Amino acid sequence: MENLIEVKNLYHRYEDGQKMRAVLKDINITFETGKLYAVVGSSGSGKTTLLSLLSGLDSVQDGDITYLDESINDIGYTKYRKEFVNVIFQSYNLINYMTAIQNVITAMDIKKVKVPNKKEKAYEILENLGIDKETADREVLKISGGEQQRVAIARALVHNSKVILADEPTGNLDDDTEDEIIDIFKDLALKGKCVIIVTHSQNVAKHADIIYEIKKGKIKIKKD
Amino acid sequence: MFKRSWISVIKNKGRTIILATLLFVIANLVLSSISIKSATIEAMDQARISLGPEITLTTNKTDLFDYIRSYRDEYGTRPSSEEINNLLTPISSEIAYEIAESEYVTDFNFSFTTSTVAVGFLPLNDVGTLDYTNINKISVTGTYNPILLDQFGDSGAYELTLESTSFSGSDQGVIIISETLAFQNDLVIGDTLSLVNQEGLNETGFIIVGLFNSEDAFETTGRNIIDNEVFIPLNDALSINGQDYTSNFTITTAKYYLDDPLNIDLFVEESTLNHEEISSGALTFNDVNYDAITAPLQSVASFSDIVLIAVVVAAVVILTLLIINTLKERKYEIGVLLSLGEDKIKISLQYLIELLLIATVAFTLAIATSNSISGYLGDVLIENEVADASTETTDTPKGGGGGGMITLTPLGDVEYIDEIDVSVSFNDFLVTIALGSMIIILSSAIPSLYITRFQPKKILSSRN
Ligand SMILES: Nc1ncnc2c1ncn2[C@@H]1O[C@H](COP(=O)(O)OP(=O)(O)OP(=O)(O)O)[C@@H](O)[C@H]1O
Ligand SMILES: [Mg+2]
Repeated sequence: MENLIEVKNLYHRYEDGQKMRAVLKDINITFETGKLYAVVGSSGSGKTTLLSLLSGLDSVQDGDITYLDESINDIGYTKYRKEFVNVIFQSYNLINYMTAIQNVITAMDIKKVKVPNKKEKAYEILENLGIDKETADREVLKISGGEQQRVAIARALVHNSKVILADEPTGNLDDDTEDEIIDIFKDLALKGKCVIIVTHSQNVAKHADIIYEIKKGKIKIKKD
Repeated sequence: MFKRSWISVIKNKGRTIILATLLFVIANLVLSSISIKSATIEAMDQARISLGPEITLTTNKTDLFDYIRSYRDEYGTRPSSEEINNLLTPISSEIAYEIAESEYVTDFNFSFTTSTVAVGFLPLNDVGTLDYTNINKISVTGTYNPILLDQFGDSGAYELTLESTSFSGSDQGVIIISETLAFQNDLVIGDTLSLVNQEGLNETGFIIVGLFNSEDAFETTGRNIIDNEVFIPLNDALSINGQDYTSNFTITTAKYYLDDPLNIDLFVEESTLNHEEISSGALTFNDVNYDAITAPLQSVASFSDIVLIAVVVAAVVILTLLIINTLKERKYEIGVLLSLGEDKIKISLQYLIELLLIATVAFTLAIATSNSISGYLGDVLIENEVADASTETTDTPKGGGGGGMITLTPLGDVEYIDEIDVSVSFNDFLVTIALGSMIIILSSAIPSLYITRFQPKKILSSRN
């Protein structure tokens, strides 16, 4: 196991009227490969903020985030998102007018995945996540929430980047589907990925190897 | 990127149809104005060709007319002829020969018109009989070649009788007079007559070599003016006037024959550039016939220019707004692409390709329709302009009785070009494609800037 992502002295502030309000204060944590992390905290505590910083969707204001000892700033945010991390959101974030398979292929195109037959590979990834060919060919608005979230996960597996970040990935799903999705994440962690899940759900958190809790801008290890 | 553009165009049918309709209308308007413009240019070239390859340099009298008019309003009389002469810049032989050296000029003819007094014969009055009251005034036109003068040309009103001969630049002491003038004075070809200048000096004798008749011209010009006009070699006319034709002299008109009627504009431009007298407006090329018959075309041409500019500007503005609006709709999609690590430039490019795909279809459809649309528009425009122009020419000034000093070529009934053949050529289509691409690229520019300001985090987490 290696130290993949390191967060050092991270602060994050939002404009609040005239003054700046710190949501994250002096965060120092490390994420390793092969582990499932849960980040918990009350609503508004800064979980999504931390996740968008880890995923390169928002830029680091103060402090540093490194990937294999290289700062995101040096890597470049677009390159970082394209090559090193994958994000999954509560609302799946698929392109609505495309079919499931087209969504996966779009990710392959953007991430410059080199395989002989992209379509075949995409079907295969979806198949492994329990999406059959017939479902894969449907437009994403015509498949269930659980299936959409699997498509979003499939999109994160098109290349062998090691980090998967998820913000409330089961927030819109019923308990049974939630369990299925958690199993997928656990399996991915076992296969060597670094999986970081932001969640409200106790059910999700209890499967994690490590639980971080954000409180008043600080982060603490809750379970190790 | 192409794949994504394609999927988006196919799947978002509503948006595609709106854009396609808009682009189809734009393509038709652009194609129409371009093809109407090129049809008018083509028709103007035809007018040039039909009017022949010649153009005449004259003293500019337009300012003088204005002066005489205001003088008359103030004092009730015409200014003295001395004053009038001072206001006119004669053409110096130096300039006339210099212009003849232009690469476009293949031949030229000069003429010099002056008032003289008849010796031993009488001028005619306005009913065509001997005029005993007149001070024997005869208007003389000296020229290198009378046949090349406007009066004798294909469209001129004067015709030499069968037994007449003409003369050339090297001839001396020969004269062509009106058939009626000869008849009333009992003169025939081979007889002689003499002329002196207005001071009674420089008497010169001439042998009559030709007679002309001019029945057609009597309607528009007083018969006495025509009958009392004679034609002699340029050098003789200059001598009577007291000028030395072996050195610098001045003439009334210089007519140039060009290699190609279509070079007239270039020739005029070149001469204007090289001669201060022309650029200042003291001397001018007489292009009234061309200007007159092409007047409706010129209006149509400038109108189609204005339409084209207006269409391009309006198209860019409308498309820009429309694209920005769709970007708001597509914010979420953009956020997704950005979170997957797509470059903002590639997203802009994708949208540009989508537009180009739709534009290709719209422009292709426009080929089919634009021919009839532009044909119809062209007809309507030219009919309007001809109607306008016909009412305007009624108050064009015609030749005034300035004792032969001031005469404008009478326009008579102008035959306007009242038809243009508008059809969309391959060339028009290429120009339209170039303009269309320009419109699309311009209207994608601002939306692209807009995309670079997108913040994926805000877009995506706001949905959570
Ligand atoms: N763009 C922004 N501008 C200003 N304030 C913001 C912005 N985004 C988030 N905040 C504020 O920062 C704090 C943390 O927000 P964040 O979205 O990270 O919370 P969270 O832990 O994900 O909450 P939830 O569990 O409800 O999703 C909140 O108080 C929020 O109002
Ligand atoms: Mg949140």
